[in-house]
Amino acid sequence: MDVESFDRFCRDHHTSVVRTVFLITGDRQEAEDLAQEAFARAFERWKTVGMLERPEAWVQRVAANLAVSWWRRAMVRRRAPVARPGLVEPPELPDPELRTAILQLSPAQRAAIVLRFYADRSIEDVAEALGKRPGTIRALTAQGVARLRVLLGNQFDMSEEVQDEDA
Amino acid sequence: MKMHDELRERLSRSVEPLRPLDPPLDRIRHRGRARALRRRSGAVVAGLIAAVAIVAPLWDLRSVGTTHGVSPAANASRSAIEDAVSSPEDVLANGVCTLWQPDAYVGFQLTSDGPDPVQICSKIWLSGDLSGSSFGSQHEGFSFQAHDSAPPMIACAEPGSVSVFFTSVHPTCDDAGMVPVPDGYREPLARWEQTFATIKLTLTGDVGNCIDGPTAVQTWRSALDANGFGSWTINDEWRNSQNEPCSWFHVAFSEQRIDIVNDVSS
Repeated sequence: MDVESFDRFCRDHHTSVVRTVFLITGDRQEAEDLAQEAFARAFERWKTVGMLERPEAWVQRVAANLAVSWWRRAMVRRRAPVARPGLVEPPELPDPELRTAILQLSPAQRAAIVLRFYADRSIEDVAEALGKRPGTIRALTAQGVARLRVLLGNQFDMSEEVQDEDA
Repeated sequence: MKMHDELRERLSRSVEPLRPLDPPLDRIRHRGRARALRRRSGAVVAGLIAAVAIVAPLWDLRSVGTTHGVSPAANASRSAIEDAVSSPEDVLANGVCTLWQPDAYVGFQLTSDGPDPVQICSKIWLSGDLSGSSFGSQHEGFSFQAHDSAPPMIACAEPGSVSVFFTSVHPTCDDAGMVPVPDGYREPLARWEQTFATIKLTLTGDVGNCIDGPTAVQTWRSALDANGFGSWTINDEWRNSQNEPCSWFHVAFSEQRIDIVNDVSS
């Protein structure tokens, strides 16, 4: 087990994984915990994961799935898909409207949007990460973007928008 | 296209100030090793009771850690574990049900007046419901069924946490390199709940409460001392910073330690 290479990998990618999970869960503490869990899973299989071309994509995939599962359970527990004020949304971060709007998407839409546009992954990558077909991801992304547009009151400049860049 | 670009930009900008602490590498590795152990338990149940001598080298025991080992050193450390979990300052707040199928385990939180660990895991096993109010499943992706009856289970402890096993997997806690959950686990837990209630009220009671490091340390110290956790340590990593003036905390149950850090979102 090459612990040093794992540690280096962890330091290099920890922040981006936490941010990805935070965008999906809206909960900073959970984001850190779920990111740790994703990295722990990578450590568990480091002999294999460490050999991948992009091990960070593997971790991001696990983290995104953990985040979606966490959100679903949280919804069941709270019986409402609302964020816990204060503990969930650090108010000092910019653009709270955007994150609030994102939290109103379905978990699958949210994960697709975050992986596609924040983590900058291809449709195929996102499909693989979320265990869905590329067509489904296109649909989820398009639905999510459309919903964001409504929720954000057309804040986005639509003048040059193409309906689905990946279609 | 433009909207997608804007979305990319706004998403990046919106989390850019979120700078988590350096990854807690020790903790991450520990979690990874614990997962490997659980996976190994699952493999045993699945019928791979192949001789440990054959299987063990494949698991890279060095990466699995020593907690569940069967060496004389492990035997010696078990009495230390026993002492630790019987201490009035050891809080068994978190647990995990290992549920037969490889990689299937469900995290839970114990409460001083709630069901005991075996009751919690039996209920999950019987109901097939992983989404109950006090549970947090950590497994991924398979559908879990309800069962007509629950097989015998055993609740075992190590400092700061509990694991529940089927006795067909680990007939005794000793076999799992752990010790039985002490009968009196509820008492420290009740004191912990009291401690945390005080902390929560002071530190996170109001949205936007901004508590500096010294205040957080003082608040934790007096709450811990008042509730019989005098030997718990507080690791003050908070640094006075104009950009990040508020504090945050992490609880390390197994080390009986509170880490006070800068709230990076402040």
